[in-house]
Amino acid sequence: MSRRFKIAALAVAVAGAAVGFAVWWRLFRVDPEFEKRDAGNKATQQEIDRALGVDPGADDFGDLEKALEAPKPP
Amino acid sequence: MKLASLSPLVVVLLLPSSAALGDTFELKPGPLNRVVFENDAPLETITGMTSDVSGTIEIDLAKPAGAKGKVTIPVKSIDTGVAKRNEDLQSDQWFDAAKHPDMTFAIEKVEIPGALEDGKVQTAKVHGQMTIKGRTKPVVAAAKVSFHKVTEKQKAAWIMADAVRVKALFQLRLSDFGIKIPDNLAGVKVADEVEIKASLTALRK
Repeated sequence: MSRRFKIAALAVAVAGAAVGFAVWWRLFRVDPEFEKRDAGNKATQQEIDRALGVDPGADDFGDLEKALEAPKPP
Repeated sequence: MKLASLSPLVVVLLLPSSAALGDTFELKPGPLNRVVFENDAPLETITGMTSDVSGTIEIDLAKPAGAKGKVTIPVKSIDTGVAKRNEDLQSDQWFDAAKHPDMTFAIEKVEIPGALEDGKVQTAKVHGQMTIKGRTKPVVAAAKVSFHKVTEKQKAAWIMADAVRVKALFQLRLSDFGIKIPDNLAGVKVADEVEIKASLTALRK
């Protein structure tokens, strides 16, 4: 394998990784600020539940799923 | 016939309907409400979130089964944490926010064991009509419903009036609302079925 071929292969690999990273960044990467907002929002819901004297658990809908077998679309 | 003699008749005619409606509770955009959309796609679970929920619930606390109401969520308010994905959701291929800015849920009836009493949580099924992208489909949500008289402790948590708390869970298919999942990378990324979890606090108007 020639040196020139190795360099070309490396360049292609680096370019591929860069493109892959750019695609991931644009299409899949979740904004850390969103995660903070989401966590804050959940905490607020738990605070509301506690203030109302209801079992806190903002996104804990498991018992609803189990108890009522969450209806599926017809 | 004089107007004065008509008045009692008018009152009698109006009474049954107003009695059936009961009290009005209002949903306002803000921290009291949280709606989460979960799409369990092959590559990842996509989560969308909004607190921009508005609407009213008319409910007779003694007979909550007859509750009526409407909940509205602006499509633009749904945040998935990925700017490009948020943009795509607004497009005509998906929710078409320009033509259909809101998704709505109209409450038709509630299957609930009994009257709503202060602090008592009841499991229920909420029947209604969901409208997304101009199409309306019947939906049944599993829910926990409770009524709470306002206290000083609650005021510290933004609950400034008597409240009806609803936690509801339901599922729907995007294809039922005319949203066809594109046959490309996005098609791999997005599942047809969406689970919706709503935590709502409606305050007495």
